[in-house]
Amino acid sequence: MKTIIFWISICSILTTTNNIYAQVKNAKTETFHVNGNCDMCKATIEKAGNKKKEAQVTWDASSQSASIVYDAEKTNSDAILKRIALAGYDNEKYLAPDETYTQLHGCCKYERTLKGKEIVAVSSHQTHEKEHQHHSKDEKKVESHTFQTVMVTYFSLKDALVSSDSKVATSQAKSLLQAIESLKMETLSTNAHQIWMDQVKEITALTNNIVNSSNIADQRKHFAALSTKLYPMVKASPLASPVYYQNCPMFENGKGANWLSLNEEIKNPFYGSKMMTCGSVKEKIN
Amino acid sequence: MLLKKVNITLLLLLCLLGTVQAQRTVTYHLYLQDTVVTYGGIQKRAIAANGQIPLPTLTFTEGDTAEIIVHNQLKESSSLHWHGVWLPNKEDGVPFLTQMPIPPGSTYTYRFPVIQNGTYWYHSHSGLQEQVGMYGSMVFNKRKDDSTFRKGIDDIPTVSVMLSEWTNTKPEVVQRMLHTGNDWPGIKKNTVQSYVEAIKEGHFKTKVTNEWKRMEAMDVSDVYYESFLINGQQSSQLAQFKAGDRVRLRIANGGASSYFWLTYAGGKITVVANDGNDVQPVEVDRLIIGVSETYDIIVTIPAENTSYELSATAEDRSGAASLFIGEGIRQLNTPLPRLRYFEGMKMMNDMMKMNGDMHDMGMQMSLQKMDMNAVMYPEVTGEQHNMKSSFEQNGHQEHDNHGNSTDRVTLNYAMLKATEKTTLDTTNAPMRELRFELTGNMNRYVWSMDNRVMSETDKIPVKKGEILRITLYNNSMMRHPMHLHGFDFRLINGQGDYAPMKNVMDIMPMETNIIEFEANREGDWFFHCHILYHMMAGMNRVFEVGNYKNPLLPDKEKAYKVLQKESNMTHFMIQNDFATNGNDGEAMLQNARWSLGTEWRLGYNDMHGYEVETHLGRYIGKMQWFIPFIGFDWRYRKMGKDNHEKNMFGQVNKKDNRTAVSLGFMYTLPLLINFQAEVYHDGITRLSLMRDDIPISRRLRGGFMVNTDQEYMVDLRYILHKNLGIRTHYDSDMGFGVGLAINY
Repeated sequence: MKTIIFWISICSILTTTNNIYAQVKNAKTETFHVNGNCDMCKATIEKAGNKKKEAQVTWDASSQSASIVYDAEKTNSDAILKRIALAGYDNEKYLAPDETYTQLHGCCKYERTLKGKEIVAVSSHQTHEKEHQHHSKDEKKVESHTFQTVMVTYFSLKDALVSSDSKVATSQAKSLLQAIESLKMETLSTNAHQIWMDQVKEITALTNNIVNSSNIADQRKHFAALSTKLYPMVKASPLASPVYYQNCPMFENGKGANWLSLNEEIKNPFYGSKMMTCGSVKEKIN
Repeated sequence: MLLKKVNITLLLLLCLLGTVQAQRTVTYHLYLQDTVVTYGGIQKRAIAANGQIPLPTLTFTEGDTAEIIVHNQLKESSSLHWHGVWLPNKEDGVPFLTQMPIPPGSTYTYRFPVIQNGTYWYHSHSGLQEQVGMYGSMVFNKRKDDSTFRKGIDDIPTVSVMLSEWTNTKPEVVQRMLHTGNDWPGIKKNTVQSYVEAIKEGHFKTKVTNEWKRMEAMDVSDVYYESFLINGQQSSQLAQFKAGDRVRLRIANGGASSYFWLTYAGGKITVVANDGNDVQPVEVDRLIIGVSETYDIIVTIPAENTSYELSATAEDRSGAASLFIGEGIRQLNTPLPRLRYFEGMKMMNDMMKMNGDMHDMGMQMSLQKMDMNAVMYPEVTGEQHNMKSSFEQNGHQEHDNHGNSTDRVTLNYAMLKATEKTTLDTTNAPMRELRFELTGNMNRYVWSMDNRVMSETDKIPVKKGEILRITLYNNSMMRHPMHLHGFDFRLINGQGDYAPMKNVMDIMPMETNIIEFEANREGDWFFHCHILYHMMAGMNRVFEVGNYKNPLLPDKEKAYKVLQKESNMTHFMIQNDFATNGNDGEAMLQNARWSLGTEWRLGYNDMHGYEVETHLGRYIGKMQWFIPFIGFDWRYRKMGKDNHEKNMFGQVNKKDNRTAVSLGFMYTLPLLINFQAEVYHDGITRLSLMRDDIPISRRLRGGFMVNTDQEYMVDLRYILHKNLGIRTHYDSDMGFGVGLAINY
């Protein structure tokens, strides 16, 4: 093994032309284990490690190693290996951030043999909780012709706005229209019935507006108005689980707007990922 | 350590005089000395104690008497403040407020009983010494028999972590550069936000609106730091820990002006205490630690033969320090990407009114819950270009990833809950409500409360035992870590009786927060913004509780005057362009309100002429857009190049030889154009419009001037260095010129 590495470094020094020495002063050469798969990896690893007049990296797939020539007065092997790890490639000294590794191209997803054995599970219960949530959401969808159905579709519309997806929002608004039309009044309490009769025209019109809006900004404006209209209905006709009436104070230059959500945690439909967690709970409706 | 010149025979001397069992005195000797460090790549002067930066960690147990003997071997006076510690006022360590400065060459003893437990720190409260190394950790351990002792928290391995930053520029120069609007730090950090950059990113309109509202480029911090440090190192490892270990880190932010994001590569961070006070454990993915705050966190090492990176990334993302926890190969964190400044600028434009006020959101915005800066975080908003391309490559994986980034839990103040009830007994104590508006002026770097700097206010008298309920509203463009000496306050955060106790409260722009505390310790207690340069610009108040006789300060009145003066220093600025057609320059002496300035244009011959204009003025209003002044002009010239003497009003203005006194004012118009009107003693009137420092590109600045004397000037300046630029200009008096512009 040692001899192979020796020959590789010799070869690499010879092949990568003499100008390395012209470029890198006080040259020191070292070889390190660096994981990777293909030519694409080679390009990324070398690009990450190289620095003009400072460091020259040559990576070899078969030996899974990189030979590094660097100016010992300007830098050290640690700094170079750190850059390579930050580009997604585990090596003798550093492990790449998990997020960076996941973002590597499919063919570059090398086996992460350098990672230590995990003995503490990292937050597995969390994913569990999420599955549970999804489950309960699905259950709600089964019922139909009730106000619950209207709200379930509303929440899907809200989620589409949270992820700033105008197309999905349009299609969800369409389903909301259907849900509004097919709502059976007899399922409502007297009080809720009265409110529904008063508001249904506007609720339908606003939902229509969302369907017909071509851009997300307009959809959000109508959604703000729609949410205010639905709020008294939710108060009068409580759902199976608590609903949170939430507020974004910044919408439309500080005028603010409200929305309804099943989760206490804020996910802002008016700004989406730009201001995801911006907002506050105004009221919890049980 | 990179410290040199450490020739101290007496290092850390710890003597236990434990004669009585419960009452023991723990003594530390601190030898303050000048030292040389290379944190920024070159040798610079710093201050160390016992040869160390950070200063040694001082450990006590609740019930001890702390005795710290300071040997000032510096060439300047010094002091030490015990941050967050309850103690007699004379031990608080604020020169000219609670003691006289410790003169060079002398020894001074601080002595106080330790009556609390938790993570604290100490630092110099003299001038800008805190920036050059004078900060250290301080730990007050709980007694084993303490009823609040928490298993799995108070009995696990603990490491003190001190965060700080280093600049190669002398802090006095940093301060002056902030006041004179030198944009070299912005160039170094690549945060100039020039017009060319705006156009490239499709934000031309944003930039114009921003300048229309009279704002200069916004940044989340003001100072350029060469490096960021954890326990005095950019990167270090705690190799004594192994897989499965839980480690408690007692983190203090000793940075002079940097907020730090804390992230951990080995999973969740559990927050267990804040500002020395226990909180109910809360799991987060990341947290921001404000200047001078302390947080106790617990992290776990999940895998064998691996050390996990704890990163402290400066809020402006200009750099980070790493601490690897564990043995073996180093698992890196995902670095926090560069800020999207123009998104932040856009948000700022929406939030600021034309008169420079922020939209007041009342209590809707408080407790760090809405981080407006989040619009600038690519890891939150998604990196548009990268997202798209990798989405095409491998659809679902990217999707999962996206989910992760938005579900990230960030700590905010509303999540802090005390472990015990913290309600104040109001039955027989009088309650008093106070309100402060935090105000500031970025362009001139004046920071104040209720638009008053400290030198314009008296101490606030408070009766001993009174309960103060203080509402703070941040009507400025920057966040401020407000620190109260001598007390912990309750931060009203929706946790009811379990509101957390703190001694520093970070308050973001537009936020309103409420704090309350019982003023039960006599003395003069400082209440100030802990960003060193904001404090030195006057963002301070003093609560004078009871009628405290301080034996160390026989003349309190006089001492307070000195303190006031120190927080409103006069800054000197001078610049000159040595050009082919003459010298063009100005000099200015300024403090928070007053400005004495002289401008000159000195040609090389009589034809080009010589001209000097001097103005003495006072800035009016919070935004300081208006400055009335009295002026004195002198000029001499042989008629030549530009020989009309009539101005636009038909008044004849002798240019050949003129000495005049004037009254006038300058007002900053939208787009940061200065409008100046002046009437001379002989009735001649002159109106001018001018603008300096238009950020065209990262290093290129433009400017112009026109006036009713039908004079005009346009110039371009290319910035080479913090004190040097190349300038070319065309002047109606002196014609075309190229030169070297030097500024100090």
